Amino acid sequence: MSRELENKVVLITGAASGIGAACAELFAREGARVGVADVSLDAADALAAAIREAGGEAIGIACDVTRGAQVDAAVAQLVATWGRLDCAVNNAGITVPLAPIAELEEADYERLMAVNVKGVWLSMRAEIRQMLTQGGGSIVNMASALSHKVHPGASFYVASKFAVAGMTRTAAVEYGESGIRINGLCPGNIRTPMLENAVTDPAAVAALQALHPMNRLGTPGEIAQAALWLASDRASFTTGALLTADGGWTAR
Amino acid sequence: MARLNGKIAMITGGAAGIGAGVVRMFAAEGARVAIADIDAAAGKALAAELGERGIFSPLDVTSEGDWQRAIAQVEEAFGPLDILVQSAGISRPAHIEAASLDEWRAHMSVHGEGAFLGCKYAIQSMKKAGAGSIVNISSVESIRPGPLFVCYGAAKAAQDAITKTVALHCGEQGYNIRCNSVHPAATYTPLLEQYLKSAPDPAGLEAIYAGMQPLNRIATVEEVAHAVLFLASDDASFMTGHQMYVDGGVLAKPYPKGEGA
Repeated sequence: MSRELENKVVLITGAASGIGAACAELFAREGARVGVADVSLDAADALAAAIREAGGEAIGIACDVTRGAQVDAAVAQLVATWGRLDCAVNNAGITVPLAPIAELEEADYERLMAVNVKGVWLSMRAEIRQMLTQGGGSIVNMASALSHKVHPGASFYVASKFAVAGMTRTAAVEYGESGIRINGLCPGNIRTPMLENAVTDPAAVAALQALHPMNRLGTPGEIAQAALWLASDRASFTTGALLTADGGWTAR
Repeated sequence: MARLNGKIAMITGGAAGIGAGVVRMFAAEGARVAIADIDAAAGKALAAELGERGIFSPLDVTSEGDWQRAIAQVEEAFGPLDILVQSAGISRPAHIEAASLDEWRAHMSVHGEGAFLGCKYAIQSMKKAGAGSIVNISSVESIRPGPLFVCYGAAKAAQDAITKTVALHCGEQGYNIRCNSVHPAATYTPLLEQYLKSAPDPAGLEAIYAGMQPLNRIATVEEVAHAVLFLASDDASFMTGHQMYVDGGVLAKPYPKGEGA
């Protein structure tokens, strides 16, 4: 059975849990050599070890995506280890407590924008610079259904995901002829630790479920499959796209 | 690869172009395929290539009777439908001043009525299978129609509305049937090659078409078929109502001007 990412070197940020972890595991099963990058080195190392235990190739990398030097070092470490960088999934992202826009806090704004927007930019910068020396690559930025729709109380998160979508499409046009494909992936509400920590009331979870015509939350594995498609050569004519896997939410 | 093992698929417009590319890829992935087309000679020839995996169903997508017969034929040969790919279509570019009412009606009929009937009858069959995936081949011209595509763009936009409302309906009814569209830009099909050949400067026109995409080339049928395959497969289980661009980035960049746009 041929594997989609045989020998491809992939960097995944925010990879120690949730969607990022699902991507790391799936990509490793598909033959990739995975840099599991996360702000928690312990968690990154643990996942990388589990992947190796299961027969895959992975290393844990400490990486705070808000720090350009750390992102540059993560890419450099992959190049030093495996000689190249073929794909990246810029998945690191956070949420902050919900509140109407006039009741939000400045510190939360800065923290969220730094991770969700600046972090994606810094990641792309390091990845594109490396990929230009190789003649190509594939970048997947984790956007959101909230790149198209709004959610009351989540104005920072919504703004950050609109920003990710904008940067993604701009960069795709800029680097169109370089061989680097750059796409966004827009999940709906996905059953992840981030969501389960933020939304603890069962009635609130049910309300989130009901936003989706398919009337359920998505799984991290379902998003990982979409990320895999975008990263792989099956998507060779797809760039500047925002692939949406949201149970029909944004079709409403 | 066996992403569609055990699945039964019908491809309209399956005798040529993108449809034929989808037929071949689906068969290679383990599906049994009904090639539904008005071109019986080409359709039967392709079905023969597939052997036991393929049958030909005569289908004019604007004919309700043809749909009923075609679905019944597939159900009898293979079983209830798991996948419908609607690739049947026409495209005769003309701007608003040059296009005739007959051309408008032809485009709206094939794409609008075709998609309407296809979704209606596919759902009926897929409910028996317990799940399904409908993939409607649309176009970048439905999102951002160029002046030469007044008929085609509107017809594909109508098809897109059907795609989305069907996705919502099936989701809300709990049918486990997904419905999505794929939006190619310039793709190497017999239709495009014919259009290029009839131009005063074929190489020049081809360069214009290629240059519209940030990737600066024209798609192959396989590249479009890969997107269709993904949406048809269980790997896209949380995707419905999505408009999947396979456009080389053309919709991300400023609108291209000039001939062919």
